Amino acid sequence: MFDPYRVREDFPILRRIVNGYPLIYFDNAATSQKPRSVIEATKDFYEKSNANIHRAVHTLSQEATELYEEAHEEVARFINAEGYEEVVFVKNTTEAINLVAYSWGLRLESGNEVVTTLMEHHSNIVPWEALSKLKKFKVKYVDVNGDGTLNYEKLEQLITKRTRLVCVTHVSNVTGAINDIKAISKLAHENDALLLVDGAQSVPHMPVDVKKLGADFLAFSGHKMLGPTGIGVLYARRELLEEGEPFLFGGDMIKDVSYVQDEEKVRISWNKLPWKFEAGTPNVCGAIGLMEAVRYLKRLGMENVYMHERNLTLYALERLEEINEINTYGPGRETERGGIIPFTMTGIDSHDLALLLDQFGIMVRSGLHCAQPLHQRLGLKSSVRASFYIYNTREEVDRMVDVLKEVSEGLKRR
Amino acid sequence: MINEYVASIEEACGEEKDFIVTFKHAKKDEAIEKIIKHGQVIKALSGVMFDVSYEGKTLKVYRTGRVIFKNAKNRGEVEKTLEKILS
Repeated sequence: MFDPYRVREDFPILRRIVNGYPLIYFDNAATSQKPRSVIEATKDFYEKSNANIHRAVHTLSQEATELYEEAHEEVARFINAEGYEEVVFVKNTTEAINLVAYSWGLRLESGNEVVTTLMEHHSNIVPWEALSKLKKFKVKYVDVNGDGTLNYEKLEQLITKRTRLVCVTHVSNVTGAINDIKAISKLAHENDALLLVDGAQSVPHMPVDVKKLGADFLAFSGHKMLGPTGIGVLYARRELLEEGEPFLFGGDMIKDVSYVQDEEKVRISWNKLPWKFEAGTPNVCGAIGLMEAVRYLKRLGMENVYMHERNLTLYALERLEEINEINTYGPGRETERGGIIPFTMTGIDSHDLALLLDQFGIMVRSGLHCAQPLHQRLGLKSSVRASFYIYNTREEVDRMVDVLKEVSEGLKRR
Repeated sequence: MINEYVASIEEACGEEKDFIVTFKHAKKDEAIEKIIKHGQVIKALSGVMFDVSYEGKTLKVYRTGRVIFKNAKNRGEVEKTLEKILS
């Protein structure tokens, strides 16, 4: 296990004083903070190697190309993909899911079904609803239980031979509930359906092995795993990428564009994988930052990352129970869950509570967290979400609980 | 008047339909003083948050320079109220 206090030394932002208090950053499910090594890697790139990739014969371009391709390889090893060809760099998880929708998903038709769940982030609902209007397939929703876990009985009922794709999050961005992806994969594949996993809240926080999970597609974002914003990943099995049509068209994704005089036409052939899906100048610097972020996480060990967050979450749940006015949601302490705790306080709205915590330097999220159907299902108008990462400590949890107690007492006195 | 004080007005997500106003850092203290002066402070919480009533509307005012307009009809209503209360 690593020492979070030692880890904190690598994150310059954590020295900040916010509103007169030391910063406590509990909004990691939205985005993570960045270690010095990631900041330095991106700075180094612009200071020493900046050039466009795959386009020129000069030294800088070769250096930039090597770094960019190395980033694909590093990410491929991190999730145990077959090779870098299975790793497509995109903007974020949302774009990765849209890429699947508008390359592979365009083959869906009337009579087909896409099965997703009520616990999804909007980014794993909206693309399928939008595409279903165009292609006339049905989107079906698996219900969740009262504790935010997936209802596997309903899942079994909904996945049928009509199902072509199952889209499910690995870890809920609201409750931290962890889905049994292996079981879902088995069920999907038994029905000849493919499985898309939203890994935005799992890849940064636990060991993820695409082969062990049985994921056909895996989408995740760099900025939630210590990397820069604007870089994300779509993993897909090689044959799916080979047979899929590109989503974006332009430079670098083509092998050949030749004008055939006799036919008065342009003939186009696609580049090899993964470049076929990366049109135009990509986020080279973001990719290099992501590579460094992956290396940082690997040094800590993903099993250690998961255990650290799990221990902290259990501790926070225990401490929050001390406040009668606080209601927490999500799986019980006996169930495996990610480092995310949604909660409400009787007598105060979530945005008010988040703003009060902000006044004490504590950053949490409030609202629906882009998961309105799940809030509806859990009977919540909105919630406050505290989400943890490698640099958070029990001391910070204690500080949040102290402030919440103060707020609770203050509300009673009013 | 709004532009002088207000950095942003955002509709918060959630069923409550609140609008969150963020004041410009340099003008936040002045803006808060004006709101407290023109409105009626109903309640205060540890000196960091005030419930202010103004022309039948409820505003939650935070020392960090944010105001939540509770259950506002729309952005226009928020802007109109701000114009008056900050004048």
